[in-house]
Amino acid sequence: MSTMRGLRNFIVEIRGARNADGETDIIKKELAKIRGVFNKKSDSYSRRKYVLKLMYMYILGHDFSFGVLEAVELMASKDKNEKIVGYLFLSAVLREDSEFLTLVCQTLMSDISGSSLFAPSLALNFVANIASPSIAEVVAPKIVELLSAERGSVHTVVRKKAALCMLTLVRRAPEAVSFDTLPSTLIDLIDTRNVGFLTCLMSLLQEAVTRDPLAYIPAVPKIVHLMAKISLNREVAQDHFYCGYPCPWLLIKLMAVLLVLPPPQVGSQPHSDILRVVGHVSHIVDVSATGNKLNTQFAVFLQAVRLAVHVGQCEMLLLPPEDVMTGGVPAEGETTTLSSHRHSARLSEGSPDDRSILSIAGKALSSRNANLVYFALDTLCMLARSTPAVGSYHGTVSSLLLSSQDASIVRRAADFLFLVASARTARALVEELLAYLEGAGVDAVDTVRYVALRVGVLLERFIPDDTPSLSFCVWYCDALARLLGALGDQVEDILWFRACEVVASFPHTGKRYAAYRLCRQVLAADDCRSGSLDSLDALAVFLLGEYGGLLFQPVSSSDLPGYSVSGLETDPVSLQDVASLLIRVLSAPTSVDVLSPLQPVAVEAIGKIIASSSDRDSDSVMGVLRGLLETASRSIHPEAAQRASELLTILNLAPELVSTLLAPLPPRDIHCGSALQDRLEKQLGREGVETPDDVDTEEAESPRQEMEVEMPPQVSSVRPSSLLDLVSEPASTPLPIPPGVYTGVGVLYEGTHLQIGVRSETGTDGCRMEVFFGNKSGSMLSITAAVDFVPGPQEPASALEIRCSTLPSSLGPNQQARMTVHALAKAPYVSLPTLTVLLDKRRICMFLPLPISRCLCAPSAEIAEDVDMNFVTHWDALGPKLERAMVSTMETVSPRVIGQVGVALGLTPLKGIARQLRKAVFLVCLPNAPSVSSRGFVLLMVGPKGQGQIEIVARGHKAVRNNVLEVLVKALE
Amino acid sequence: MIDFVLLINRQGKVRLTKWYAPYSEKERTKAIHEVTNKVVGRSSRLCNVVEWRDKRLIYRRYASLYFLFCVDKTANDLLVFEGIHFMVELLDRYFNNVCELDLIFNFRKAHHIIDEFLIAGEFSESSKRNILRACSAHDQLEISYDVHS
Repeated sequence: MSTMRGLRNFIVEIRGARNADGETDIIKKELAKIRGVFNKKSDSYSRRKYVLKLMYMYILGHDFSFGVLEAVELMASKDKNEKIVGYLFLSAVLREDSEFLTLVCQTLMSDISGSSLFAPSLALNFVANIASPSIAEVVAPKIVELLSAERGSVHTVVRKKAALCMLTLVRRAPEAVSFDTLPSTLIDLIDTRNVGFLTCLMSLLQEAVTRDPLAYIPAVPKIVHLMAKISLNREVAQDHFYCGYPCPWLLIKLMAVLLVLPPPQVGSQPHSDILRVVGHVSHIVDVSATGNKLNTQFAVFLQAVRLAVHVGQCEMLLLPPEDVMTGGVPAEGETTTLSSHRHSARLSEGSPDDRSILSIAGKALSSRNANLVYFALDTLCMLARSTPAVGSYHGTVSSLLLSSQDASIVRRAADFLFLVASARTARALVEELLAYLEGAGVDAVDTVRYVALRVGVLLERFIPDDTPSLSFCVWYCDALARLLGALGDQVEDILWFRACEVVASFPHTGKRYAAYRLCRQVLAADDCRSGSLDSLDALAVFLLGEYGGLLFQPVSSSDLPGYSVSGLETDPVSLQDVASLLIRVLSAPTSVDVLSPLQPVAVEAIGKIIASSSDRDSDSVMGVLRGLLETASRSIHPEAAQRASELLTILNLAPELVSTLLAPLPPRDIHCGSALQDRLEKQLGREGVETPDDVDTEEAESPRQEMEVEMPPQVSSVRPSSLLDLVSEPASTPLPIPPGVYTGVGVLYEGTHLQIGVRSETGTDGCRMEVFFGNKSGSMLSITAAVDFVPGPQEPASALEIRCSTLPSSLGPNQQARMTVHALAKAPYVSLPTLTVLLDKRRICMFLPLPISRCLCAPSAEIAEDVDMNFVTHWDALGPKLERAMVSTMETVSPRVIGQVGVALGLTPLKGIARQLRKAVFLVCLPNAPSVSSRGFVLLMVGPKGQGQIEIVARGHKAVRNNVLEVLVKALE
Repeated sequence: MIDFVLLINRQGKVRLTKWYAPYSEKERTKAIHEVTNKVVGRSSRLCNVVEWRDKRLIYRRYASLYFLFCVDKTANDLLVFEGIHFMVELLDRYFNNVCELDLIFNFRKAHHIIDEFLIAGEFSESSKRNILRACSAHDQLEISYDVHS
C-alpha cells in the first residue's frame, strides 16, 4: 500500500496538536503553503499530495476556498493516479448546487465512455452520488445506452453502477429521463444473473415503479421467481451468503419492489410463491440465535410480514409458518378447509396461536436485544390497521412503555397503543399513556410531546356524535387535567386550545365539571410548583371565565345525578379557591419585557364570571371579584390594566351592560377539523408510522419539500387572493388564453362591463407585465384583483416570484386602471400564474399569459453574441435530441416576419446566424443559467419550408423546449 | 435510502463522511453536530436506532468508533444495521484488524472501500470478495505508479 510521506507527516502533526487552536494554527500554516504551491507549477506527486491534504482538512471540518480547480485538473488528467485523487476530492467536496460541476461535465462524459473498467467506474460513482440537473441532462442518454446495451458488451460492474446512476437521475432529475422506454429495458434486465447487479437494479426499480406502477406489472412474476429461487432453493454463490443467509440484501430489495407493485392475483402462481416464501422465511427464524445471524433472519422476516400484508393475506400471519409453506392458506371463497376454520376461530378469539407467524414478532418483544424489540414494535405498528389480532400484545407493549429508558422504544410503544385503541379500550390505553407521562423524566421533552399529542388525539377520537354523556365528560376532564398537570410547561399550546373547543360542546354539567376539575388540578398542583405559569393555568383560567359562574349557582335537580360521580359536591371549589387561583395569575412575575399573556385572559375571566353570576348582588362574590379587578388595574401589563379599569367603570355606571359585553363562547362543531388531528397527520406525513401504504411513496420528495419551506415566502402583495377565497361562489377554472395574446399585447378578457388588457416586456430581470382594467359600463365598479401562482405537482412553490402593485378599489365609468405585475422565474415551471378578479361579487379567473412560460430571462448581450458567433458549436453541444413542429399558414411568411413575432414573444433573436441560414434563429435562457456552457438555454431555428409551411426546430432543455415550441406555434398560427 | 454515512469517534471527532442526499455545507455541519449529540454517549443497553428529524439514525459502536448511517423510511433498518457490520468486516479484512488509526492515515482507502459497496445511498454489492478485489485493483495501480516514478 503506497503512502505519501508528506501527507502522513501532516496527519501526525495535526494529531499532535494540543487543542483545537493548535490544530487551526497548523492548518492555517499549511493552507498558506499549499496556496503558494498551487500558484506555481508543480509536479504530479505534490499536486496529489496537497489535494489529499486539503481533503483531510475538509474531513476535519475546516473551511477553505481553493483547491477545487486543481482537483478538477487532476480529475481530467490521463494519469490514473491523478484521476483517482481528483475524483476522491471532488466527490467529497462538491454538492449538487456547486458551480464547479459545469467544469467536470465534459470529463465525466468522456470517462463514462471509456473502454476500460477504471474511468467509467469512477465517473459513474461520481454521477450516482452527485447529480445536478446539468450533469443529468448530459449523461442521461449515455446511461440509458449502458443499461440497454447487448449483454456481454458492457462489463457488469459498469452496468451495475449505471443502474444506480439511473436511480439518482430518477430521484433528482426526472426531467432528464425518458420514462417511456425505461420499463421494458428494466424488466428485461431482471434476467441478468449477477447478484450485485440485481441488487442495484432492484434499488432502481423500487424508485422507478413508484412513478408508474402499472407499467411494471410484467416484472412481478420475474421478481417472485427470483425471490423463490434465492429464498427457497438457496441458489446463490457462496460469496453472497451473509451469516449463513442467502444474500439478504437482494432478498430484501426484491420484497421492497414487490411492495410498491400492485399485488398479484389471489390464486396465481406468483401469489402462492410469495406465500411460500413468507412461510419459509418465518419458519427459519430461530429466536434462540444471537447477534448478526438473528438480526439478519429477523430483517428478512419483518420485510416478509409487510409483503404478506401487501398481498392481502393478513390472516395468514395467524397461522404457523409450516401451514403457510405447504399452502394451507385459505383461498378466497373457500371456506371449508381445516385451516380456514382454525383461522376464523382464532380471529374471533383475537389472540394469535403460540406457533403462528405473528407470535414470532410477539416473542421478540420480550427479547433482551433492544434492537429486536424496537423493530418488532415497528412492525406491529405497521400491522395495527390490518390485523386486529396484534391488539393482544398490548399488555406487553404497555409494560415496555413504562419500563423502557429508551426514547426510540417508548415512541414506538406509544404509537402502537395509539393505533390499536378502539372505543372500548381507549380509556385503559389513555390511562397507560398518562402513567408514562406522569413518570417521565424532565430530559425527555421531545418524547413527552410526542406521546402527549397522541393522548390528546385519543381523548377526542371517540367523542360521540351527539351530546357527550356525563361520564365521557368526566373522563375527558380528568384525563386532560392529568395530562396538563404531568406536562407542566412542556405542553404545546395547541393541546389546550383544542380542549377549549371540546369543552364548549359539552352539556351544561360537563362544562361545570370541566371548570371545577381544572381548577382543582391547579390548586392541588400549586403547592409543589414554582411561580411560573403554564398551560394548566391557562386552561383553568379560561374555563373559569366561561363556566366558572356555574360553580356558584345553586344546583338544579336535573344536574344531581352527575354530582355523586364527579365529587363536585363532596369537595367543592370555594370562592376563595377561585380567587386565590386568579390572584396567583395576576401577580405572577411579569416584567415589561416578558408580559404574561395570561393576565388579560384572567381579567376577562373575572368579567365573565361577574356577567354569568346570577346572584350579582351578593356582596361576598362581587366584593371579592371587584377586589381582583382593582388589583389587575394596577398591573404593569398594559392590556390587563386597561381591561380591568374599563370593567370597573362599566360596573359602576351600567352593571347590566356587562352580560351583553361578555357573552359566553358559543359551542362549535368539534367534529369538523381538529388542530390536534392535523398536527398528528403532519407529523405522520413526515414520519409515516401509520399506514403501510404510504411507506414507500414520494420518498425522495420529502427533503426537497423541507428545503422549500426555507425559501423566502411569496411577496405579501400576492396574498389578497385569500380574501377572494371567502367569496361564496365556488372557484372557477381559469379562462383559456385568447389566441394572439402571447405576442405580448392583447385583450385578455372582454365582458359587458369590464375589459382586461395586457402588455408585457421581457428583460434580463424577468417579465414586466401591465394589466389594464377598463370599465365599459356607465357606473362605478368595485374591483379586487390578485395574482396567484399555484405550482403543479412537480414544481417548487418558489419557481416563480411574482410581485404586483395594488389596484384602486373602485373604477369610475369609462375609466381605466393599471396593475403592474413583475414575474421572475427562479426555476423552470409549467403552470401559469392565474389572475383572479372579483367584480361586484362575481369572480373571474384567468391565466396570465407570461410571454414564454418557464423562461422569463432574456440572455445578456454577451451570451447572445457568443452563441450567435459560435452557433454551430453550441447547437451541437445541446445534444442530439430535438423537437420539431410544422405550422401551416395561409401564405408564405418571410423569416423577417417570423423574427418579429419571436421578438414580440420575448425571444432573443440571433441576427448574424439568421442571415446565414435564411431562417429566424432564437435563443432562450433558462432562469439561473450561470453561463452558456451550462446548457442553460434552448435554441430554436424557424424558417419557411415549402408553400405555406413553417418549420420549427428546437434543441436544449427538454421541458422548456417543448413549452417554447408550443407557444411559438400558437403565436404563428 | 441512506442519506449519509458518518464515522465519529467517542470524542465526537469526525473520521469519515459520505453524503448521498443533498445537504448544503451549512446543513452538513449542523447535521453532524446534532447527530453526534444524539448518538455519542448513548448507553449500550439502549437500541441502536435513534429518530432524528424525519429520519432514523442507525449506528454501531466498535471500540472507540461509531459507525452511523442515516436512513429514510424506505430502508429496512435492521438490515442496514447489519450493513454496518458488513462494512466493518470489509475494513477489517482490508486493513487486517482495522483500528481508528488505519482510517485516519488511509482515509482515501476507506473511501474507496465504501464507494465499492455503497452507491447513491444503496447497497450495491453483497460479495466481500468482489469488493476487495476491486479495491486491490485500485491499489495495484497506485503501486505501479509509484514504482514507475
